[in-house]
Amino acid sequence: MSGRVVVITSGKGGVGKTTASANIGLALAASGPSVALVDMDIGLRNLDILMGLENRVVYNLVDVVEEKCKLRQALVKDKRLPNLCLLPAAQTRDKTAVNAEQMKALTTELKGMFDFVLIDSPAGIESGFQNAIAGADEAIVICTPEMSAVRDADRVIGLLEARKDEINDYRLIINRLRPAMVKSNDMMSVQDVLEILSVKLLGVVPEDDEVIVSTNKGEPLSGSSDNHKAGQAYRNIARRMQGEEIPFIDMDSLNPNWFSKVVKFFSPALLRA
Amino acid sequence: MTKIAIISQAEQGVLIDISGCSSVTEAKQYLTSTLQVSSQFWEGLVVDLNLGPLVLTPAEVNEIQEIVFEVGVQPRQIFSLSPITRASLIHCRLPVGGLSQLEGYVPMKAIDILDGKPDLAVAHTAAPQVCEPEFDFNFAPSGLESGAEGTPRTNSYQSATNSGCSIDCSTEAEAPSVSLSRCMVLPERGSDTTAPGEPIVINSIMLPELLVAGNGSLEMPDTVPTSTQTPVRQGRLYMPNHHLIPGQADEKITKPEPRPFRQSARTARQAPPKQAAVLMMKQTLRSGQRVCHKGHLVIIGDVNPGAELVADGDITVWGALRGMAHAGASGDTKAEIRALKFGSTQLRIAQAIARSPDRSKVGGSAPSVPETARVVDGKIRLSGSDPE
Repeated sequence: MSGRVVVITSGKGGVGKTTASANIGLALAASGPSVALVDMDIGLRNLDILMGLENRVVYNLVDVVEEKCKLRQALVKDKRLPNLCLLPAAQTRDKTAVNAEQMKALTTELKGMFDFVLIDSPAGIESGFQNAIAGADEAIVICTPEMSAVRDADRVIGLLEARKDEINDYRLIINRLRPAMVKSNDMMSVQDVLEILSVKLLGVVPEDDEVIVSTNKGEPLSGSSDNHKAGQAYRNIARRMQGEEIPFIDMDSLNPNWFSKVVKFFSPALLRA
Repeated sequence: MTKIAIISQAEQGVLIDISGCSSVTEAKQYLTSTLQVSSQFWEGLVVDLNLGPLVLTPAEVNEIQEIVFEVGVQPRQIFSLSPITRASLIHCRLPVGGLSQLEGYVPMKAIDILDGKPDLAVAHTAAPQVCEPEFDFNFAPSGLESGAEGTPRTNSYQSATNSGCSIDCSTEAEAPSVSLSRCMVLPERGSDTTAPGEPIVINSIMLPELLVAGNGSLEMPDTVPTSTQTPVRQGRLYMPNHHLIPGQADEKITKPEPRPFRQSARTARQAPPKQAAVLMMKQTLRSGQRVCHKGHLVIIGDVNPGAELVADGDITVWGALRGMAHAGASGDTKAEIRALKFGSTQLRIAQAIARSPDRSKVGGSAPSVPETARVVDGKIRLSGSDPE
């Protein structure tokens, strides 16, 4: 059984790669397939915090690559789902600890064990990024609707396009969209971003304060039973990755109308529906 | 069959002819076994390589190069009948020899080390010439020269392709697996030049649809050359860039260090004024990509912010120009920049620089008309598309 290796990258930092990796990974695993999350941000690891598994980390990716331990020993099983595993990065090393060849070997080994391998790439376009995309078959580019993020995503897409023989499918996720600002022309719309980037859209995730809460708690949004907007968006993305056709969330419906604003004023808890 | 020659004077050079091999694997095999038989013999020797009709991708060229380097040999010239191979060689910065020089090789008695069969071998007897970039390998996609019946062409264009190297177009048809892209080199409008400018091998592919007629107007040929004989691909193809110099991941490759552009005797007869050709690219340029060309530049697609275009002639963008464009880079203030939509960060013509107005609002802009930027009184002005 050969799995799909998907690298989640962006170029710009802070647009939501790690959040997306955690949420998409959890959503995918919840629907059935076995998923491995790989944190390639060596030296600045965050994926274990988002998954809430930071105190269960014994071995990490660099130990596997240097053959100090077996891959199975380094994989951390998720506390919620049995078919989701995390391969954490090293916190005390840096990007020079691995190279592209080692990554290719590692992803090949993981491919044979899992249905999905999600690689969380670090920001930038140098060796950390090059190592992360070394073994990947597909790519997800994350972008926020701002000029700087779009320019960096464009650069990264150009780099991915140049490796067309290895990475044959790359799609875009627009993260942290604020429909109200788009309406008042203060923020780029989905169309504006797609006009410049011209890639296939995988999903649009609206801005949601709950993401911050979930990061601190270590419980990704897509796994919670509350119907948060961002969580729902990530769940849809996971289903699209498995081939389902799901229409994009209508951004207008996310705008608070006057009634909900009134309700929110009096009783915020009522709006958590 | 690998043919080698044992010669007494090493300075004159030896030609290794692997054109008889039927496949690249076989060629590599023979080359490896030949060179490794007596590596001390080969070390420091001046060696030429004849690839014949073999079609090689840049990766395969690199492998051959490694085989040759291993014994300490630096090939002086590499001959090839196939334009695809020649493009691969240029891409890997290897010296390509003009095929006319193959005639200068004289057979000598030789021993075929491998099979023990005495075989005809060739050795270069004339004094080695400086390897000069003959314009033969400023090739055009063979689709145009091979079989596009009824395609109107300017005479100059035709003669550029019949410049003496007999490109066997059928070899290209046999190479469907080569995903190499080539660039289209068109003659300057209105000229009867036969020497297009230096080609730039880039990671894109173009279709030979636009021809420049003698009266200077761009016209479409009545029949677009069909791809019956050539696997000219439509759409975007990219060469794997893992063999590029690190750090230049997706920069366009320009020609290797320029040698003096000396024209051989034959081409001197048709001596044209040296004018550069038009480079046409049918792709969108992404941020970080840069195209430099000594001539006119036509981009069919968008130019995203962060991309750069530098041309000695005009720049025409059939799409939105959002990046930086520098026309007349070598000082021609008559150069123009035109685009269907200007959103450019900076426009430069010769020495003048102009920047776009600061962004006032974010999304959506007023519908735009195609415009042309030219230098008027030392400043760059944008005007409608009618020529002055």
